[in-house]
Amino acid sequence: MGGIILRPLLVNEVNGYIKKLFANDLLLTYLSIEGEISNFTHHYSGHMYFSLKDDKSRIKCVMFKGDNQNLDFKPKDGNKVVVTGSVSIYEKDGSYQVYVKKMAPLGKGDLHKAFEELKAKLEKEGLFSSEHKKDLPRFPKKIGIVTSSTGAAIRDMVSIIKRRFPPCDILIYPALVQGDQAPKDIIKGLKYLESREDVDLIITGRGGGSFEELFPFSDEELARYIFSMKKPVISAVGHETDFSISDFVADIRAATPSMAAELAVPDKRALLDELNTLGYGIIRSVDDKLNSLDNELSSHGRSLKFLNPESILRDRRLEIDSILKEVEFKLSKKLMTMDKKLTTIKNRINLLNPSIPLEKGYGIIYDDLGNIVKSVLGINKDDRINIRLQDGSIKTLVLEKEENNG
Amino acid sequence: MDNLKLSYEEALKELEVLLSQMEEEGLNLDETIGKFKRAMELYDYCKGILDKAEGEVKLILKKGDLQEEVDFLEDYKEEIDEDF
Repeated sequence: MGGIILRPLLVNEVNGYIKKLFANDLLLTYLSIEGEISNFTHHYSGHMYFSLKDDKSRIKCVMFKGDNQNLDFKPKDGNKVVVTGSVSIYEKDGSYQVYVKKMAPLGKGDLHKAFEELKAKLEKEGLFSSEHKKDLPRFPKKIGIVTSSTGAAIRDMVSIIKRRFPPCDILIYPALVQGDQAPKDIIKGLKYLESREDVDLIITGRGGGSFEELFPFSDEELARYIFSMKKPVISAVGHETDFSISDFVADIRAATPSMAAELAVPDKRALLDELNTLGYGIIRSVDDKLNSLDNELSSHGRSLKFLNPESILRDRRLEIDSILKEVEFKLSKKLMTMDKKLTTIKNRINLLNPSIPLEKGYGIIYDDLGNIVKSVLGINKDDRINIRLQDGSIKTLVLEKEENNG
Repeated sequence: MDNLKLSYEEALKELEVLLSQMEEEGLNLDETIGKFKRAMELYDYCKGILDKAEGEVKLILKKGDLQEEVDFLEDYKEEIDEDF
Protein backbone atom coordinates (compact mmCIF):
# COMPACT_ATOMS: atom_id res chain seq x y z
CA MET A 1 0.00 0.00 0.00
CA GLY A 2 1.06 3.57 -0.55
CA GLY A 3 2.34 6.05 1.97
CA ILE A 4 0.37 8.57 3.87
CA ILE A 5 -1.46 10.96 1.56
CA LEU A 6 -2.68 14.05 3.26
CA ARG A 7 -3.74 15.92 0.18
CA PRO A 8 -2.63 16.29 -3.40
CA LEU A 9 0.70 18.15 -3.46
CA LEU A 10 1.52 21.04 -5.66
CA VAL A 11 4.17 20.55 -8.31
CA ASN A 12 6.55 23.01 -6.71
CA GLU A 13 6.12 21.27 -3.37
CA VAL A 14 7.26 18.01 -4.92
CA ASN A 15 10.23 19.59 -6.60
CA GLY A 16 11.09 21.44 -3.43
CA TYR A 17 10.91 18.21 -1.48
CA ILE A 18 13.16 16.41 -3.89
CA LYS A 19 15.56 19.30 -3.80
CA LYS A 20 15.81 18.95 -0.05
CA LEU A 21 16.41 15.25 -0.38
CA PHE A 22 19.28 15.94 -2.82
CA ALA A 23 20.65 18.65 -0.59
CA ASN A 24 20.78 16.26 2.34
CA ASP A 25 22.55 13.55 0.37
CA LEU A 26 26.24 13.40 1.17
CA LEU A 27 27.27 12.26 -2.26
CA LEU A 28 25.19 14.62 -4.35
CA THR A 29 26.34 17.72 -2.53
CA TYR A 30 29.95 17.20 -3.46
CA LEU A 31 31.10 14.94 -6.24
CA SER A 32 33.27 14.72 -9.32
CA ILE A 33 31.98 13.39 -12.57
CA GLU A 34 33.95 12.37 -15.60
CA GLY A 35 32.48 12.52 -19.06
CA GLU A 36 32.48 14.01 -22.49
CA ILE A 37 31.07 17.47 -23.14
CA SER A 38 28.18 17.79 -25.58
CA ASN A 39 25.69 20.53 -26.49
CA PHE A 40 28.09 23.09 -25.09
CA THR A 41 26.91 26.70 -25.09
CA HIS A 42 28.65 29.64 -23.57
CA HIS A 43 25.64 31.89 -22.99
CA TYR A 44 26.01 35.65 -23.41
CA SER A 45 25.22 35.92 -19.73
CA GLY A 46 28.57 34.25 -19.14
CA HIS A 47 27.15 30.98 -17.87
CA MET A 48 28.05 27.74 -19.53
CA TYR A 49 25.43 25.12 -20.28
CA PHE A 50 26.29 21.67 -21.49
CA SER A 51 25.75 17.97 -20.98
CA LEU A 52 28.22 15.39 -19.83
CA LYS A 53 27.84 12.00 -21.39
CA ASP A 54 29.32 8.60 -21.47
CA ASP A 55 28.35 5.74 -23.71
CA LYS A 56 25.23 4.93 -21.71
CA SER A 57 23.87 8.09 -20.26
CA ARG A 58 23.97 11.86 -20.03
CA ILE A 59 23.53 14.52 -17.39
CA LYS A 60 22.87 18.25 -17.70
CA CYS A 61 25.40 20.68 -16.35
CA VAL A 62 25.63 24.37 -15.69
CA MET A 63 28.71 26.34 -14.77
CA PHE A 64 28.03 29.87 -13.73
CA LYS A 65 30.01 32.85 -14.88
CA GLY A 66 31.62 33.36 -11.48
CA ASP A 67 32.90 29.80 -11.54
CA ASN A 68 33.99 29.57 -15.16
CA GLN A 69 35.97 32.83 -15.37
CA ASN A 70 39.19 31.21 -14.24
CA LEU A 71 39.07 28.16 -16.45
CA ASP A 72 42.48 27.66 -18.09
CA PHE A 73 41.06 26.06 -21.20
CA LYS A 74 38.14 26.51 -23.52
CA PRO A 75 35.69 23.66 -23.17
CA LYS A 76 34.34 22.31 -26.43
CA ASP A 77 32.03 19.54 -27.49
CA GLY A 78 33.92 16.30 -27.45
CA ASN A 79 36.33 17.34 -24.67
CA LYS A 80 36.67 14.78 -21.96
CA VAL A 81 36.57 16.52 -18.62
CA VAL A 82 36.22 16.01 -14.93
CA VAL A 83 33.73 18.36 -13.27
CA THR A 84 33.36 18.89 -9.57
CA GLY A 85 30.26 20.33 -7.92
CA SER A 86 26.84 19.28 -6.68
CA VAL A 87 23.77 17.73 -8.22
CA SER A 88 20.60 19.62 -7.55
CA ILE A 89 17.07 20.15 -8.75
CA TYR A 90 16.10 23.03 -10.95
CA GLU A 91 12.70 23.47 -9.45
CA LYS A 92 11.30 25.50 -12.29
CA ASP A 93 11.18 22.60 -14.71
CA GLY A 94 11.70 19.67 -12.43
CA SER A 95 15.02 18.64 -13.86
CA TYR A 96 18.18 17.92 -12.04
CA GLN A 97 21.55 19.07 -13.11
CA VAL A 98 25.14 19.37 -12.05
CA TYR A 99 26.16 22.73 -10.67
CA VAL A 100 29.76 22.75 -11.74
CA LYS A 101 32.25 24.59 -9.57
CA LYS A 102 35.41 23.28 -11.17
CA MET A 103 36.22 21.70 -14.47
CA ALA A 104 39.49 20.21 -15.75
CA PRO A 105 40.36 18.49 -18.98
CA LEU A 106 40.58 14.80 -18.45
CA GLY A 107 44.21 14.14 -19.40
CA LYS A 108 43.98 12.23 -22.59
CA GLY A 109 40.83 13.54 -24.17
CA ASP A 110 42.03 17.07 -24.13
CA LEU A 111 45.74 16.63 -24.63
CA HIS A 112 45.17 14.27 -27.51
CA LYS A 113 42.94 16.81 -29.11
CA ALA A 114 45.46 19.59 -28.52
CA PHE A 115 48.10 17.32 -29.99
CA GLU A 116 46.06 16.55 -33.09
CA GLU A 117 45.15 20.19 -33.58
CA LEU A 118 48.73 21.39 -33.28
CA LYS A 119 49.93 18.60 -35.52
CA ALA A 120 47.41 19.50 -38.20
CA LYS A 121 48.26 23.17 -37.92
CA LEU A 122 52.03 22.78 -38.18
CA GLU A 123 51.71 20.25 -40.93
CA LYS A 124 49.61 22.70 -42.90
CA GLU A 125 52.30 25.33 -42.39
CA GLY A 126 54.82 22.92 -43.89
CA LEU A 127 56.92 22.42 -40.77
CA PHE A 128 57.01 18.67 -41.27
CA SER A 129 57.85 18.60 -44.95
CA SER A 130 60.83 16.55 -45.98
CA GLU A 131 62.48 19.35 -47.92
CA HIS A 132 63.33 21.00 -44.60
CA LYS A 133 65.01 17.92 -43.21
CA LYS A 134 68.75 18.25 -42.79
CA ASP A 135 71.21 15.42 -43.27
CA LEU A 136 72.99 14.12 -40.22
CA PRO A 137 76.79 14.28 -40.21
CA ARG A 138 78.26 10.85 -40.96
CA PHE A 139 80.92 11.16 -38.27
CA PRO A 140 79.72 13.63 -35.66
CA LYS A 141 82.55 15.21 -33.71
CA LYS A 142 80.44 16.38 -30.80
CA ILE A 143 76.85 15.42 -30.09
CA GLY A 144 74.80 17.69 -27.85
CA ILE A 145 72.01 16.03 -25.87
CA VAL A 146 69.14 17.84 -24.16
CA THR A 147 67.43 15.55 -21.70
CA SER A 148 67.24 14.66 -18.05
CA SER A 149 70.72 14.03 -16.68
CA THR A 150 69.41 11.16 -14.60
CA GLY A 151 67.58 8.06 -15.64
CA ALA A 152 68.00 5.35 -18.21
CA ALA A 153 67.61 7.48 -21.34
CA ILE A 154 70.84 9.43 -21.02
CA ARG A 155 72.80 6.43 -19.78
CA ASP A 156 71.64 4.35 -22.72
CA MET A 157 72.44 7.06 -25.24
CA VAL A 158 75.92 7.70 -23.90
CA SER A 159 76.81 4.05 -23.66
CA ILE A 160 75.56 3.24 -27.15
CA ILE A 161 77.30 6.21 -28.75
CA LYS A 162 80.54 5.36 -26.99
CA ARG A 163 80.30 1.73 -27.92
CA ARG A 164 79.54 2.36 -31.57
CA PHE A 165 81.88 5.26 -32.20
CA PRO A 166 84.28 6.02 -29.33
CA PRO A 167 85.92 9.13 -30.90
CA CYS A 168 82.69 11.13 -30.61
CA ASP A 169 82.46 13.79 -27.89
CA ILE A 170 79.20 14.17 -26.00
CA LEU A 171 77.89 17.30 -24.31
CA ILE A 172 74.83 16.89 -22.11
CA TYR A 173 72.53 19.79 -21.32
CA PRO A 174 70.35 18.64 -18.43
CA ALA A 175 66.74 19.77 -18.75
CA LEU A 176 63.36 19.14 -17.22
CA VAL A 177 61.51 16.70 -19.42
CA GLN A 178 58.08 16.76 -17.86
CA GLY A 179 55.76 19.33 -16.38
CA ASP A 180 54.84 22.85 -17.40
CA GLN A 181 58.37 24.22 -17.21
CA ALA A 182 59.85 21.50 -19.39
CA PRO A 183 59.31 23.05 -22.86
CA LYS A 184 61.07 26.29 -21.91
CA ASP A 185 63.89 24.41 -20.29
CA ILE A 186 64.35 22.19 -23.33
CA ILE A 187 64.31 25.22 -25.65
CA LYS A 188 66.98 26.84 -23.49
CA GLY A 189 69.15 23.77 -23.83
CA LEU A 190 68.63 23.57 -27.58
CA LYS A 191 69.49 27.26 -27.93
CA TYR A 192 72.66 26.77 -25.98
CA LEU A 193 73.77 23.79 -28.05
CA GLU A 194 72.79 25.54 -31.27
CA SER A 195 75.12 28.37 -30.26
CA ARG A 196 78.05 26.01 -29.61
CA GLU A 197 80.25 25.88 -32.66
CA ASP A 198 81.77 22.54 -31.75
CA VAL A 199 78.43 20.71 -31.58
CA ASP A 200 77.44 19.26 -34.94
CA LEU A 201 74.44 17.11 -34.03
CA ILE A 202 71.75 17.45 -31.37
CA ILE A 203 69.52 14.87 -29.76
CA THR A 204 66.59 15.77 -27.56
CA GLY A 205 64.14 13.44 -25.92
CA ARG A 206 63.35 11.38 -22.89
CA GLY A 207 62.47 7.87 -21.82
CA GLY A 208 59.00 6.42 -21.73
CA GLY A 209 56.10 7.86 -19.78
CA SER A 210 52.42 8.62 -19.97
CA PHE A 211 51.04 10.79 -22.74
CA GLU A 212 50.87 13.66 -20.25
CA GLU A 213 54.47 13.15 -19.22
CA LEU A 214 55.65 13.19 -22.81
CA PHE A 215 53.50 16.18 -23.65
CA PRO A 216 56.22 18.84 -23.20
CA PHE A 217 57.70 17.51 -26.45
CA SER A 218 54.47 18.44 -28.18
CA ASP A 219 54.72 22.07 -27.15
CA GLU A 220 54.19 24.51 -30.01
CA GLU A 221 56.99 26.88 -29.08
CA LEU A 222 59.42 23.99 -28.79
CA ALA A 223 58.27 22.61 -32.13
CA ARG A 224 58.80 25.94 -33.84
CA TYR A 225 62.21 26.35 -32.29
CA ILE A 226 63.37 22.92 -33.39
CA PHE A 227 62.12 23.71 -36.87
CA SER A 228 64.16 26.92 -36.95
CA MET A 229 67.42 25.27 -35.90
CA LYS A 230 70.42 25.22 -38.23
CA LYS A 231 71.92 22.10 -36.73
CA PRO A 232 70.44 18.68 -37.37
CA VAL A 233 68.20 17.45 -34.56
CA ILE A 234 67.11 13.94 -33.66
CA SER A 235 63.94 13.69 -31.61
CA ALA A 236 63.65 10.63 -29.39
CA VAL A 237 60.66 10.69 -27.09
CA GLY A 238 59.32 7.72 -25.18
CA HIS A 239 58.82 4.36 -26.79
CA GLU A 240 58.25 3.06 -30.29
CA THR A 241 54.51 3.75 -30.11
CA ASP A 242 54.78 7.28 -28.73
CA PHE A 243 54.70 10.22 -31.07
CA SER A 244 55.29 13.83 -30.18
CA ILE A 245 55.23 16.99 -32.25
CA SER A 246 59.00 17.34 -31.86
CA ASP A 247 59.33 14.03 -33.74
CA PHE A 248 57.67 15.60 -36.77
CA VAL A 249 59.65 18.83 -36.85
CA ALA A 250 63.02 17.25 -36.06
CA ASP A 251 65.24 16.11 -38.91
CA ILE A 252 64.87 12.52 -37.81
CA ARG A 253 62.53 10.78 -35.41
CA ALA A 254 64.09 8.01 -33.40
CA ALA A 255 61.65 5.55 -31.87
CA THR A 256 63.56 5.56 -28.57
CA PRO A 257 66.59 7.32 -27.06
CA SER A 258 68.65 4.19 -27.74
CA MET A 259 67.63 4.30 -31.37
CA ALA A 260 68.68 7.94 -31.50
CA ALA A 261 72.15 6.93 -30.39
CA GLU A 262 72.29 4.28 -33.09
CA LEU A 263 71.21 6.75 -35.74
CA ALA A 264 73.64 9.39 -34.52
CA VAL A 265 76.91 7.55 -35.04
CA PRO A 266 78.17 4.82 -37.35
CA ASP A 267 79.26 1.49 -35.99
CA LYS A 268 83.05 1.55 -35.95
CA ARG A 269 83.39 -2.22 -35.95
CA ALA A 270 81.27 -2.64 -39.06
CA LEU A 271 83.21 0.13 -40.81
CA LEU A 272 86.52 -1.44 -39.86
CA ASP A 273 85.41 -4.77 -41.24
CA GLU A 274 84.40 -3.16 -44.49
CA LEU A 275 87.64 -1.20 -44.73
CA ASN A 276 89.84 -4.16 -43.92
CA THR A 277 88.10 -6.29 -46.49
CA LEU A 278 88.98 -3.69 -49.10
CA GLY A 279 92.55 -3.41 -47.82
CA TYR A 280 92.94 -7.13 -47.96
CA GLY A 281 91.58 -7.18 -51.51
CA ILE A 282 94.16 -4.59 -52.55
CA ILE A 283 97.01 -6.58 -51.04
CA ARG A 284 95.75 -9.74 -52.70
CA SER A 285 95.52 -8.12 -56.10
CA VAL A 286 99.11 -6.85 -55.83
CA ASP A 287 100.13 -10.31 -54.80
CA ASP A 288 98.38 -11.79 -57.83
CA LYS A 289 100.02 -9.25 -60.07
CA LEU A 290 103.47 -10.09 -58.79
CA ASN A 291 102.77 -13.78 -59.15
CA SER A 292 101.84 -13.44 -62.77
CA LEU A 293 104.84 -11.22 -63.36
CA ASP A 294 107.00 -13.89 -61.83
CA ASN A 295 105.60 -16.48 -64.20
CA GLU A 296 106.05 -14.17 -67.13
CA LEU A 297 109.67 -13.57 -66.26
CA SER A 298 110.54 -17.20 -66.00
CA SER A 299 108.79 -18.10 -69.21
CA HIS A 300 110.37 -15.20 -71.09
CA GLY A 301 113.79 -15.58 -69.63
CA ARG A 302 115.35 -15.70 -73.03
CA SER A 303 114.00 -12.61 -74.58
CA LEU A 304 114.38 -10.65 -71.41
CA LYS A 305 118.05 -11.36 -71.32
CA PHE A 306 118.66 -8.98 -74.15
CA LEU A 307 116.85 -6.29 -72.33
CA ASN A 308 118.98 -6.87 -69.27
CA PRO A 309 116.14 -7.64 -66.92
CA GLU A 310 118.16 -6.91 -63.86
CA SER A 311 118.80 -3.32 -64.61
CA ILE A 312 115.30 -2.75 -65.87
CA LEU A 313 113.74 -4.23 -62.85
CA ARG A 314 116.14 -3.20 -60.20
CA ASP A 315 114.82 0.30 -59.86
CA ARG A 316 111.25 -0.93 -59.86
CA ARG A 317 112.02 -3.49 -57.26
CA LEU A 318 113.81 -1.13 -54.98
CA GLU A 319 110.78 1.04 -55.18
CA ILE A 320 108.41 -1.80 -54.49
CA ASP A 321 110.59 -2.91 -51.63
CA SER A 322 110.61 0.44 -49.99
CA ILE A 323 106.86 0.91 -50.39
CA LEU A 324 106.18 -2.49 -49.08
CA LYS A 325 108.53 -2.06 -46.18
CA GLU A 326 106.77 1.12 -45.24
CA VAL A 327 103.32 -0.31 -45.71
CA GLU A 328 104.25 -3.47 -43.96
CA PHE A 329 105.46 -1.49 -41.01
CA LYS A 330 102.21 0.40 -40.83
CA LEU A 331 99.96 -2.53 -41.33
CA SER A 332 101.76 -5.02 -39.17
CA LYS A 333 100.54 -3.12 -36.19
CA LYS A 334 97.01 -3.05 -37.47
CA LEU A 335 96.19 -6.31 -39.08
CA MET A 336 97.90 -9.62 -38.73
CA THR A 337 96.37 -11.21 -41.80
CA MET A 338 97.28 -8.32 -44.03
CA ASP A 339 100.68 -8.25 -42.49
CA LYS A 340 101.28 -11.88 -43.31
CA LYS A 341 100.10 -11.36 -46.82
CA LEU A 342 102.52 -8.51 -47.23
CA THR A 343 105.40 -10.62 -46.06
CA THR A 344 104.50 -13.15 -48.68
CA ILE A 345 104.46 -10.44 -51.32
CA LYS A 346 107.78 -9.15 -50.19
CA ASN A 347 109.32 -12.58 -50.39
CA ARG A 348 107.84 -12.94 -53.81
CA ILE A 349 109.47 -9.72 -54.89
CA ASN A 350 112.80 -10.80 -53.47
CA LEU A 351 112.56 -13.99 -55.46
CA LEU A 352 112.07 -11.90 -58.57
CA ASN A 353 115.15 -9.89 -57.84
CA PRO A 354 118.24 -11.80 -58.97
CA SER A 355 120.64 -9.60 -57.08
CA ILE A 356 119.47 -10.96 -53.76
CA PRO A 357 120.45 -14.61 -54.40
CA LEU A 358 123.71 -13.43 -55.87
CA GLU A 359 124.52 -11.68 -52.64
CA LYS A 360 124.06 -14.94 -50.86
CA GLY A 361 126.62 -16.65 -53.03
CA TYR A 362 124.37 -18.02 -55.76
CA GLY A 363 125.35 -17.61 -59.35
CA ILE A 364 123.48 -17.40 -62.62
CA ILE A 365 124.77 -19.50 -65.41
CA TYR A 366 124.59 -18.30 -69.01
CA ASP A 367 125.47 -20.28 -72.10
CA ASP A 368 127.56 -18.99 -74.99
CA LEU A 369 124.58 -17.20 -76.44
CA GLY A 370 123.74 -15.51 -73.17
CA ASN A 371 120.76 -17.67 -72.30
CA ILE A 372 120.20 -18.57 -68.69
CA VAL A 373 121.03 -22.19 -68.10
CA LYS A 374 118.43 -23.94 -66.04
CA SER A 375 119.13 -27.52 -66.91
CA VAL A 376 122.10 -29.72 -67.67
CA LEU A 377 120.29 -31.10 -70.68
CA GLY A 378 121.54 -28.48 -73.14
CA ILE A 379 125.08 -28.54 -71.82
CA ASN A 380 127.85 -30.79 -73.02
CA LYS A 381 131.46 -31.39 -72.19
CA ASP A 382 133.73 -28.59 -73.41
CA ASP A 383 130.90 -26.08 -73.70
CA ARG A 384 131.80 -22.61 -72.56
CA ILE A 385 129.50 -21.13 -69.96
CA ASN A 386 129.54 -17.93 -67.95
CA ILE A 387 128.82 -17.82 -64.27
CA ARG A 388 127.50 -14.54 -63.00
CA LEU A 389 128.30 -13.76 -59.40
CA GLN A 390 127.37 -10.62 -57.52
CA ASP A 391 130.53 -8.74 -58.43
CA GLY A 392 131.36 -10.09 -61.83
CA SER A 393 131.39 -13.17 -64.00
CA ILE A 394 133.63 -16.15 -64.64
CA LYS A 395 134.09 -17.78 -68.03
CA THR A 396 134.30 -21.54 -67.55
CA LEU A 397 134.75 -24.69 -69.51
CA VAL A 398 132.52 -27.72 -68.80
CA LEU A 399 134.62 -30.72 -67.80
CA GLU A 400 131.92 -33.18 -67.06
CA LYS A 401 128.18 -33.35 -66.60
CA GLU A 402 126.01 -35.53 -64.46
CA GLU A 403 122.24 -35.81 -64.55
CA ASN A 404 120.15 -36.30 -61.45
CA ASN A 405 118.16 -39.43 -61.69
CA GLY A 406 114.55 -38.97 -60.62
CA MET B 1 96.97 11.98 -44.02
CA ASP B 2 94.30 14.50 -43.08
CA ASN B 3 95.35 16.60 -46.03
CA LEU B 4 93.29 14.32 -48.26
CA LYS B 5 90.35 16.56 -48.93
CA LEU B 6 87.94 13.70 -48.99
CA SER B 7 85.01 12.50 -46.99
CA TYR B 8 85.23 9.01 -45.58
CA GLU B 9 82.72 7.85 -48.16
CA GLU B 10 84.68 9.35 -51.02
CA ALA B 11 87.88 7.72 -49.84
CA LEU B 12 86.14 4.39 -49.42
CA LYS B 13 84.55 4.70 -52.84
CA GLU B 14 87.92 5.44 -54.42
CA LEU B 15 89.38 2.46 -52.65
CA GLU B 16 86.64 0.26 -54.10
CA VAL B 17 87.30 1.61 -57.58
CA LEU B 18 91.05 1.02 -57.21
CA LEU B 19 90.43 -2.50 -56.07
CA SER B 20 88.27 -3.37 -59.04
CA GLN B 21 90.84 -1.79 -61.39
CA MET B 22 93.65 -3.73 -59.79
CA GLU B 23 91.73 -6.97 -60.06
CA GLU B 24 91.37 -6.50 -63.79
CA GLU B 25 93.99 -7.87 -66.12
CA GLY B 26 96.27 -5.66 -68.10
CA LEU B 27 97.79 -3.31 -65.56
CA ASN B 28 101.52 -3.06 -65.87
CA LEU B 29 103.80 -3.01 -62.88
CA ASP B 30 104.03 0.77 -62.80
CA GLU B 31 100.28 1.15 -62.76
CA THR B 32 99.89 -1.51 -60.14
CA ILE B 33 102.45 0.14 -57.88
CA GLY B 34 100.85 3.55 -58.39
CA LYS B 35 97.41 2.30 -57.52
CA PHE B 36 98.77 0.33 -54.62
CA LYS B 37 100.42 3.43 -53.18
CA ARG B 38 97.22 5.42 -53.51
CA ALA B 39 95.15 2.62 -52.05
CA MET B 40 97.34 2.43 -48.98
CA GLU B 41 97.10 6.18 -48.58
CA LEU B 42 93.32 5.96 -48.67
CA TYR B 43 93.32 3.01 -46.33
CA ASP B 44 95.41 4.90 -43.79
CA TYR B 45 93.17 7.93 -44.16
CA CYS B 46 90.00 5.95 -43.46
CA LYS B 47 91.61 4.04 -40.64
CA GLY B 48 92.70 7.33 -39.13
CA ILE B 49 89.13 8.57 -39.04
CA LEU B 50 87.96 5.44 -37.27
CA ASP B 51 90.91 5.27 -34.89
CA LYS B 52 90.73 8.74 -33.44
CA ALA B 53 91.22 8.89 -29.70
CA GLU B 54 88.22 8.35 -27.47
CA GLY B 55 86.06 11.44 -27.05
CA GLU B 56 84.94 13.05 -23.81
CA VAL B 57 81.52 13.05 -22.16
CA LYS B 58 80.64 16.32 -20.43
CA LEU B 59 77.67 17.58 -18.50
CA ILE B 60 76.73 21.24 -18.41
CA LEU B 61 76.22 22.74 -15.01
CA LYS B 62 74.06 25.84 -15.05
CA LYS B 63 74.93 28.64 -12.69
CA GLY B 64 72.45 31.34 -13.45
CA ASP B 65 73.26 32.33 -17.00
CA LEU B 66 76.70 30.78 -16.89
CA GLN B 67 77.47 27.27 -18.01
CA GLU B 68 80.26 25.12 -16.76
CA GLU B 69 81.28 21.77 -18.17
CA VAL B 70 82.01 18.91 -15.85
CA ASP B 71 82.71 15.25 -16.49
CA PHE B 72 79.58 13.17 -16.80
CA LEU B 73 79.97 10.78 -13.95
CA GLU B 74 77.19 8.30 -14.63
CA ASP B 75 78.89 4.97 -14.95
CA TYR B 76 77.80 4.22 -18.46
CA LYS B 77 81.00 2.30 -19.11
CA GLU B 78 79.86 -0.62 -17.03
CA GLU B 79 77.01 -1.04 -19.43
CA ILE B 80 79.36 -1.04 -22.35
CA ASP B 81 81.22 -3.93 -20.81
CA GLU B 82 78.04 -5.85 -20.25
CA ASP B 83 77.25 -5.55 -23.90
CA PHE B 84 80.30 -7.44 -24.97
